[in-house]
Amino acid sequence: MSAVRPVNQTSRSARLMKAIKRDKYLLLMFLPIFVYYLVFHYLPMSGAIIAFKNFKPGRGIYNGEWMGLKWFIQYFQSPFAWRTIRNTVFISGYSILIGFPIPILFAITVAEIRSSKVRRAVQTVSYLPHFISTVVLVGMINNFFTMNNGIVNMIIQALGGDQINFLVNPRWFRTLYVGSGVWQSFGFNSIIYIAAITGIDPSLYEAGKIDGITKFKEAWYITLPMISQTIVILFILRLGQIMSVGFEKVFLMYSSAVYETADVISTYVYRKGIESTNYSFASAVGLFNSVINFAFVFIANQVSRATTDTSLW
Amino acid sequence: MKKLISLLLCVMLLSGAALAYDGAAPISDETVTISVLTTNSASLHYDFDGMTWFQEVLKRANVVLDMELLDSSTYSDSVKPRLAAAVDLPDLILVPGSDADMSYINAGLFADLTDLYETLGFNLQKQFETHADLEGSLTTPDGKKYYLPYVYTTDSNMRCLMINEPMVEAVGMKLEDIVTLDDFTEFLYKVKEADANGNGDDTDEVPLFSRAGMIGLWGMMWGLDLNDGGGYQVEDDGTVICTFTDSRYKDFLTWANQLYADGILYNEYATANYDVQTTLFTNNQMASMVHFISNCTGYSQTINPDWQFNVDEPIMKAVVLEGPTGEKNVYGRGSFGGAFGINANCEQIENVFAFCDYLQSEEVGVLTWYGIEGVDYNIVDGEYVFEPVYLDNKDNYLTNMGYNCGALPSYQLDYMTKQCNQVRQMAKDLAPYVMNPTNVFSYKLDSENEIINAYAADLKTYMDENQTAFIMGTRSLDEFDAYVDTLNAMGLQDVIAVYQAIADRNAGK
Repeated sequence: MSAVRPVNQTSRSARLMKAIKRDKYLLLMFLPIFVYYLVFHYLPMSGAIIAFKNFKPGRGIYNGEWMGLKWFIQYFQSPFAWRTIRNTVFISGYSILIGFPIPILFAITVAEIRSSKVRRAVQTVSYLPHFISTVVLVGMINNFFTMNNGIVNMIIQALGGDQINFLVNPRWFRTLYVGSGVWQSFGFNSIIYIAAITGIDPSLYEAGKIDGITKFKEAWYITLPMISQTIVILFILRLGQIMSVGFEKVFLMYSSAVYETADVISTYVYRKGIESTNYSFASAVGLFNSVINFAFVFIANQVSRATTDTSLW
Repeated sequence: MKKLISLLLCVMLLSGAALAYDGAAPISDETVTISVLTTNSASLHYDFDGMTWFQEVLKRANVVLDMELLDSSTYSDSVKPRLAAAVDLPDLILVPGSDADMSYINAGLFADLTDLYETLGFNLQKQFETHADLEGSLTTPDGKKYYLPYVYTTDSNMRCLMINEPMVEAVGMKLEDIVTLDDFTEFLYKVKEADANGNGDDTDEVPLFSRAGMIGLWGMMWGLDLNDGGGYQVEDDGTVICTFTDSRYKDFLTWANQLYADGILYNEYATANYDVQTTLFTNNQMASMVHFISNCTGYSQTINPDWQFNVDEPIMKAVVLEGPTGEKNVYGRGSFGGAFGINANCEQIENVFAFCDYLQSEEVGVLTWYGIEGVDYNIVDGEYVFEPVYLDNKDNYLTNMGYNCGALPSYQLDYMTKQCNQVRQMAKDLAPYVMNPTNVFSYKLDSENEIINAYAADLKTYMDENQTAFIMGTRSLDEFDAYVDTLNAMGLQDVIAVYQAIADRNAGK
């Protein structure tokens, strides 16, 4: 008895083959990216298993003793667990709260500049800080905010105020971190919004002018709604990093004087996990971090889809 | 019969090979090639193949090295994955973190050298006799030795108080008058009030400077190791204490807090880095700090670029103070400076071990620190007298030759030879007062590692941030007892128990 292939399956395979043949060059272009993500992002995920094992170098990632949730429990029982989570969320939250709208406002402002030369100059100047390395940026922060001939304290003194020990005062850490981050990234982050604004149909603005709306109303009723999809997508993606504060910058900026507000999950994991070669502990906390980040992206995506019809998937 | 003859021949060959090395070069009649994975602590800019002094060592030992030198800043990150994969490893490897939790030993990556230490460790045994802490640092809890050490000099380059002598005179005192901690404190307050550097500005002097993480060195004045020992100290009776909970520590904090409140201690000591320190020296603002005595020469040159080596008196001078407990201490260091392992799959373990033992010989020490006789030094009346090429150190001559290379399991013979005569003499004068860390590097049982991994990092974090808070006054010293209670609640006593067990093992109890 010969096998009979269902008609719809045959046609599906044929359609697939036809699509592959038609898009063969696009697929070929996609192949390296697919391989990259497979090799460097998906296959290594299996290594996350060491978060549940007692990993020892030389024995391989699958051969350690099974520890269950021990490392997760150890983290949450640590006296610094909630402090590091709080600091991570606060620093990240402030960065989003302040750092997310500023590039949008900047992009709208730049779009209003009529002279293309001035516009380009403003854009270029605003991009430059993005290319400063973190080490140099932190060096600049230290030089500007030091009590000893730092320019900020000199200005405060010149205005009759008392010097502030910015670098060792826990209350100032988040302000310095977020403020310097916003300064460094707002110009570069505005590129995508400027591109989105450029794509808005000019006839909408012409219609607005005919109706006699002000610049503010033009931005509010035309520009912002037209780039809202871009804003929402980028916001959802940004929420996916809410538990990920850059290790390098905090590590370079913090000291024992400001641990109270500066010690974040990644720096804590570095001290307790990496320096002590407790890789399983480090992986457990990293996995916890990733799960929370994914949850944020998932929830934000669902909320966005329900309220604005815009979503990642 | 044939089997018996073959066996006898093998035994003769093996014993012959072992006997060929007697602690001196060459290690073998036939040239031995050894592959090495390590780092150059100075910089990769200095080519090992061009280091004349080390090449002379290899020539005498009849050894050829196949060196893979990695950058020191990324060495650990580069080598750990290779050790984790355990493939294509060379004969001799500088082990990242000295394998503190014995992961690599337990994984069988490195050869057990215990017997070789007995049969071929001629010079290593001498190092054990010179440095009482060294053998304990290398021995695992089951009494075995898997690694070969890089050995630090412990007494010659001590960390001590250095004072800007012209500033002492500028405030109407003499260096000889500064004998006790109280005398020194009096000097600090005088500097605060005066224009001690004579630049017309009486507010720019920094009476007492400290960089981030270095304030703990002051514990030595109270007989406390707050630094290298991680906050743990073995007392004379063998008892391990946590120095960060000791009543003497509270006295130190009270002193430091007062200095900070009065603007004597540098206001950003918790974050100050090397650049800040250099700026203060360049502007001659620095009145005092605690650091390695070998820096007295360099700091004098920084303060006054016209300062002449071996001609002018050093501007920064080393001083030992009598602390509040009556002790006079300067701070040394543990002798264990890092571990090298011999690959368990190496086919010439004895030869590699013999070469490493030869590196610990006096001959190699002299070669790699003093150079070649007739070129770099001459012996006059039993003393090493260095040639101008050595003392002038033009174009980093010494580093190019191999001085303080640290790429092989050798040792620091004498860290002070580059210094001016006066600083070398100061180091000799202070040597009797050296206080070395007592809670040194050690291998632990799995159960002990588990306790350390669970508690030590958190305890250190809490100790560090509270030290800063107590000194800066953001936490009142009235809360010291509550601070101690919190440390105990965080598992401090369990950690002390681990270090006590290690101290007992090292003491042979």
